This record gives sequence, structure tokens and C-alpha cells, in this order.
Amino acid sequence: MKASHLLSFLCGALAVLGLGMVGQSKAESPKHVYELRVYHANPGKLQALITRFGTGTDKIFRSHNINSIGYWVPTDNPQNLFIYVVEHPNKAEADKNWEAFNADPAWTKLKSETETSGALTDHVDRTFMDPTDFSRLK
Amino acid sequence: MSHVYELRMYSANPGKLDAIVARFRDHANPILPRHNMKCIASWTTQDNNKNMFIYIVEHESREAAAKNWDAFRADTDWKHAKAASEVDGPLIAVAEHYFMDPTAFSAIK
Repeated sequence: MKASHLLSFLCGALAVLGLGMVGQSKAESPKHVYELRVYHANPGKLQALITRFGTGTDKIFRSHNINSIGYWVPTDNPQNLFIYVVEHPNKAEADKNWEAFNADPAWTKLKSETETSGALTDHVDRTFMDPTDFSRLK
Repeated sequence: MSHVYELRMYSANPGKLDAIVARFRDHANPILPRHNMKCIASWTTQDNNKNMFIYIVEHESREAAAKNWDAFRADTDWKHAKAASEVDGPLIAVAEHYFMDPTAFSAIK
């Protein structure tokens, strides 16, 4: 009898613990919003754009909770593209993050210093995306 | 050595986005690893006007990518899944893709 009581107690405790962990893991890994950004660099400016991201922009992004998950350059690149994906907690935060980034003196200084002979980017295509239920990154 | 990444963007035919996502979840996603491809993330666009399914696949190299896709397209399970899902017409209107090299400072390499 004692053994069976102990067993049912343990099962109950495990069930509660299990439910607690499910709740916790959901709270810890909510779905983020992702933003795909495709930069069309001006002629001759692609390398300067990449360098600016590597040495300055990415660091400033992180100070505004704009978390890059990858930066890439197309293998064949006739369009002079630079492509990256960043993660935000949600769309409202994304808008706030970009506003804060654009107003950051560290960014405005870096931008003006690197664009004395013209803008590096012609235009940017932005796409906000929700991860699928089966996506590795959520 | 860095991997090669492939960004694939599918514009869905009207009303077909959910079917594209379901087909990818149930068929393409489990078949990709058989042919040495790893899907690192998949998304749908928030702007409904775009009506797109977007994903990124990792390959060992640019040469491997071509072989991987040939093997994927020849996979009997995929061929069946594709045919079954397109009895009412193709799901994808336009497919765009870019092979990409990660930069030295990219978190994913």
C-alpha cells in the first residue's frame, strides 16, 4: 500500500512538474518576428557596405535588440546584393528598435563617415515574416 | 569551411499558401535531410499581399547544392507528394532563389 501511495504521489508530482516545464518552455521560447532585408548596393559600394556591417552596424543593432541571425552575399551577384535576417521580439518592438537605431548617434556618425562620397545603398527590400510551426528558428 | 546557404522565396498561387506550408511540413522538410540539405528556418510573410513562403537551406558547397536538388527532385516520395498536392494546379506561382555565402561576421556560417 505504501509503495503504491508513493508511486501515485510521484506520478502526480511528475505530472505537475511536466506541466510546469511545458509552461516554462513556452514562456522562454515565444515566436519571434523575423525580418528579411535585401540591400541593393550602389555600384562599387558593396564591399564598403559589408565592411560597415561587420565593423559597426551589427554591434549597434545588438544594442537595440536587433539580433542578426545571418549575413550573406549571393554567390553570383549581378544585382550587387547584401542579404540578412534579423530577429525582433514582435512587430511593435521591431518598429521601436529601428527608430532607436536610426536615432543612435553612434549610427548617424558611422553613416555620415562612411558616406562622404555617396550613399552605399540604393534601396532596401524589407519583408516581415512569421516562423512556421516547424521552423528550427522560432 | 563555410557552408553555402540558399534563400528560397515562393510566391503562392491565390489560395494556395496554406497548401504550400503543409506540403513543406509533411513532405519536403523530412525529405531534405535525405539529400544532405538542412532547412535552418522557414517563414510566411506577414504582409498578406506578398503571400509568400520563404526558407533557407544549408548545403555543404555550391557543387553539392546542385547534386542535392537533383536527388531531391528524383526522390519517389517527393514526386508522389508533389503530384498529389497539385491535382488542382500548381501551388507556386513564382519561385526565386539565391545561393549565398555567409560573411565573416555572420552568426550562422
